Amino acid sequence: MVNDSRPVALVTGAGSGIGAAIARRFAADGHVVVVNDRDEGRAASMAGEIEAAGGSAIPAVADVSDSTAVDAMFDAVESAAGPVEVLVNNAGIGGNAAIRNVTDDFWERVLSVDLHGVLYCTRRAVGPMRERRSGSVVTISSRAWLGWWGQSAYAAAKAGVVGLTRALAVELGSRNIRVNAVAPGIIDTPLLRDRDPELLKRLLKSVPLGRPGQVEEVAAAVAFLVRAQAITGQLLYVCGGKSVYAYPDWRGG
Amino acid sequence: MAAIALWPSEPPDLAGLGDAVSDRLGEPVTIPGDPAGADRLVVIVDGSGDAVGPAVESAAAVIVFVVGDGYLGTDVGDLSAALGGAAAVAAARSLAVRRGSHGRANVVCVPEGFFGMSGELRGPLAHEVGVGDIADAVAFLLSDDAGYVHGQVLFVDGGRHLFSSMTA
Repeated sequence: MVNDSRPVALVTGAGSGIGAAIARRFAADGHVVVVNDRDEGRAASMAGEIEAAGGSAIPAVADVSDSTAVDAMFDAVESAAGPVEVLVNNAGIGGNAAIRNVTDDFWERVLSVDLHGVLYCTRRAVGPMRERRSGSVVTISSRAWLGWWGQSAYAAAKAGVVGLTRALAVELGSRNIRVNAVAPGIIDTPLLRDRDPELLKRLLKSVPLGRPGQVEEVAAAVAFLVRAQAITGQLLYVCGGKSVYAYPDWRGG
Repeated sequence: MAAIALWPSEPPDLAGLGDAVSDRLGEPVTIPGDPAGADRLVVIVDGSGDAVGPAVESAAAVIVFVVGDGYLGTDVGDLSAALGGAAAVAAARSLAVRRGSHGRANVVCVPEGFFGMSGELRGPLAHEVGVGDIADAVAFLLSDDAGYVHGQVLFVDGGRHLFSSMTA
């Protein structure tokens, strides 16, 4: 076991996008970062980047929708680096479909990663946290859980993690385990930059700050919740005000 | 960078909040008689909500309202204690939409015990809320780390808010 006093933080889906920004922020804040991704190359590359910048990182490959693989990943991480003090459930997949196109397969694919994956990682992580009476879990939900066109499966999953977060905050509070969620709005990721510029312009009209958020701004909110000792069960929107009232001047359908 | 002001005053149970925010940000926090000159404003909102109006009219680019949780329906024994929180939350949300990209407004919600009311300073979490915890949240919301957080309520209450439907 590595004798390192720095707390171990495991970030799922950390190979790219928001997850990668969270991993970089945690490294800068002095965590040993476990870089989970289902893609081995992305996990290794991100961990290598953190190490090259002077941080400490371990790649960990697992598909979060596979509970056996998740349990095995935690076993391996605990042997190599010690207890996981911080878990960030970031891994997720998008899914846009009108209800007539929401097949059983589509629904199950979205829910298996975005909701079941959060359960599998959280359930495994909080076991040792209960014993040590210390730990922090942050799950990436989405502003979309409030409802948006074509988002029935995604919203159901992202609402599901809000309920899971609140219930576990109540259940695990006396064990000094804090459980919080972050709900990003429109964030500047490669996926967003691929959108039709005209559509993006219309989408941004529903954001009071008038711009997409940066992945570093989501990471900063996560880092705050991890260190905030009196906050649990919080759903923190990082959405430029979009969640306040986002009735758009256009209609989907 | 222009001044951070705490206004109108620190109630006894929040004594030291301004200094603690100052420590965290490495900048002075003043307690002026008038909120008009501040660039960033921490507004202490008591049950009456009297501080909300002048804060809304100020030119501050970043506003953080600090309120008690009575507006959630927690039993504070006095209906009037609930009004200030509701006014501040409504003001922050309205400011977020009205001002758009010109500044940010958010709320920190704390147990009513910090406003002289009876009631516990903890929720489901074992940790008891202290002024330092509140300062951490205020400093975060004043800083660029919260650059995309706008019109929101941050509950620094050990999870007490979870028992209210007004909190998601």
